[in-house]
Order: sequence, then C-alpha cells, then structure tokens
Amino acid sequence: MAAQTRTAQLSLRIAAEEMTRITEAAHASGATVSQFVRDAVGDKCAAVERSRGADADAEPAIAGSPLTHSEQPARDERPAHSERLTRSERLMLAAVAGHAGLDSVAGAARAAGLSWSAAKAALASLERRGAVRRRTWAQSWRDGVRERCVWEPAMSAPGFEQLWAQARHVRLPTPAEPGDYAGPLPPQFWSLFWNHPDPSTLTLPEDADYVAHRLLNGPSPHAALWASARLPDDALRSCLRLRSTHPHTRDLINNTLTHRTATRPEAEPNPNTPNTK
Amino acid sequence: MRDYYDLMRIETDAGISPQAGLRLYAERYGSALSHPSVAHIVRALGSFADVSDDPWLAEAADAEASATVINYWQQRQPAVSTWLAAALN
Repeated sequence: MAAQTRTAQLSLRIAAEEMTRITEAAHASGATVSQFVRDAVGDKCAAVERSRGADADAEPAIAGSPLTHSEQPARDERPAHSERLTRSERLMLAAVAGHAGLDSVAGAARAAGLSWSAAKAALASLERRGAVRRRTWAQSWRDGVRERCVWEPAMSAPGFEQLWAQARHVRLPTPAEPGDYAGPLPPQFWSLFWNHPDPSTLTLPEDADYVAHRLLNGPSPHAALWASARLPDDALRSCLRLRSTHPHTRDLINNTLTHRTATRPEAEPNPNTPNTK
Repeated sequence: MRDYYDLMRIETDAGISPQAGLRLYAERYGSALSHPSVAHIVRALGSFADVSDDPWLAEAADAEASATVINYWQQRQPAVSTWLAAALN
C-alpha cells in the first residue's frame, strides 16, 4: 500500500509519458517503481556530491595540499562493495545464499521471485561486484562424470559482509517442501548399483525399498541424504528393519520421519469412505 | 556435546544458520558443498549415539541443557539435509 501511495504521489508530479518511461525501466530492472526512483535519486545525489568534491579538490594551491591532483585518490574509484544493491540484486543475493545448487538463471529467478531477464542482470551485477561466483565441480553421472556449475555466495570475498548486510532481511518466496521423488533413478546414483544389470531401469516409487537400502547403507553420504529427503516413508521404515543399517543412518531416518509427521498436513477425510463407527 | 551446544547458540543467538556455517566451512577449506565431509557433518548433526556428555553443560548452563541440545538438532537435521540434498541433486 505504501509503495502504491508513493507511486501515486510521483505520478501527480510528472508527465504521463515520463511516468510510463520510468515504469517500463523499473520493470526491466526488476525493482518496484518506488525502489527504482529512490535508487535513481540516490545515484544522482551521489554523483552531485562527487562532482562538488572534485571541484574542491581542483584547488590544491589554495588549500595548500602537498599532493597534486593526479596523486590524490580518485573519488570515483570506490570499491564496488561500498555501493547500494538494487532490489533485484538484494533478492538474488538472498536467493543464492539461501538455496544451494542454483545452476540455471531460470532456477535462480524462481528462487528470488524475479523475471528471467532481471535475474540474469542481477546475477551478472553480483558477479561483477564479487558477491557471487560460479563454482564448478565434478559429479558422477551415468557411467562417467559430468561437470556441474552452481552459483554460490563469495562469503570470504572482501566486502561481502557489507553487501550481505543489505540482503540479510530480504523475504524470499517460500520454497515448496520437496515431495517424494517419482521417476527413473537419478543418474548420479547409478554407480552405487554396480552389481545391477541396468540401473537405468530402476524407477521410483516402484523400487523404493531396494533403492533406499542401497543409498542409505552405501558408501556415499550424499546419496544417503538424498534418499532421506526424497524417498517415501515406507521405504525409509523398511531400512530400520535391517540389521545392517548404521546407527547414524537410523537416527537420520527417525529424525526425518518425525519431521515429516510434524510438517505434512493431515490427509483430508474421504467423504466417500463409509464411517465404520 | 559442547560442540552441538555451541552450534545451537550460534544459530539462536547470532542468527548464523547451519547452512551458512557449512558454506563457511567449505569456503575455509577451499572445497565445495559436494565434498563428502559436508554430508558427513550433516549426518552427524542429528545423531548422538557416539557423543560423550559434557558435565559443564549441566553445571554452567542448565540441568536440561543436554536434552534441549539433542532435541534441537534432531528437529533441525531434516531441514539441513534437505537443503544439502537439493544442492547435490
């Protein structure tokens, strides 16, 4: 409501064509109109301040400065992290920090609640400022290895804290709780089924018990975490019946089942089911 | 147990989540979240089978501190493991 009021106040003071131009520019940047105008005014004020400072510095003889003008630090050469982030940059930085494994612009846009173009521009800008970087790593894939590239916050970069302070309290769209996985066994886990004639034929949830036993009790801790997050309750419970299940894995399963019971909404009673009471 | 208690206080008092802590850990040692040690940490977060008790907790903090810490991390572990599983998917 406050933003709408500010927009209405703004539209009373300028021409309709100018308002249309500002609105289009704001939409293209991914910011609200009020945020866009506030940022533009802030940049303009900063530019005026800098030009006034440059005028003052142009009189070294009067001020008696021992430095010549060329020796003085240029005011425009401020470190990138000292600048304010736009709304879309704040959203994107919060999304990259909060979500692990953002490997596409579309995924990052969904996580941040931005359009694709605004997300792409925000990622490029954050990369330029050194707040976000792309990390490449190898992942087992089918019968070999593939390279994956994900965006992650550059937490040890100088000035990251200053930028992060602007994005710390941003509220992102609530991500949906991942449900039970359905479909063929993901290829990154095929290598764990080394004695199976063709792991590509394993499907979920049909082979959930077999897949759960192998992933949860296998050598890969990543596979165990994935199984605990994405396999159905019954498959996880079946692992608890195995003597070979490790104590750490039992605790992981028990914690997951308790969490699911507490967070999943109770099933609506089926009106077609006859009441046996 | 002391480490679990410290981690709990770091999250509740300083607002640094386990996810941010894992990122800092990976950053500190120059590895990615895909490094197996990260997943081992997450698996150990909710498991107290081989954790020795810390008498300091009962004396200095609270008689129920150990139970509070165990309950806290057993509830937090599924969210952290889901977060990490999404990163590796």
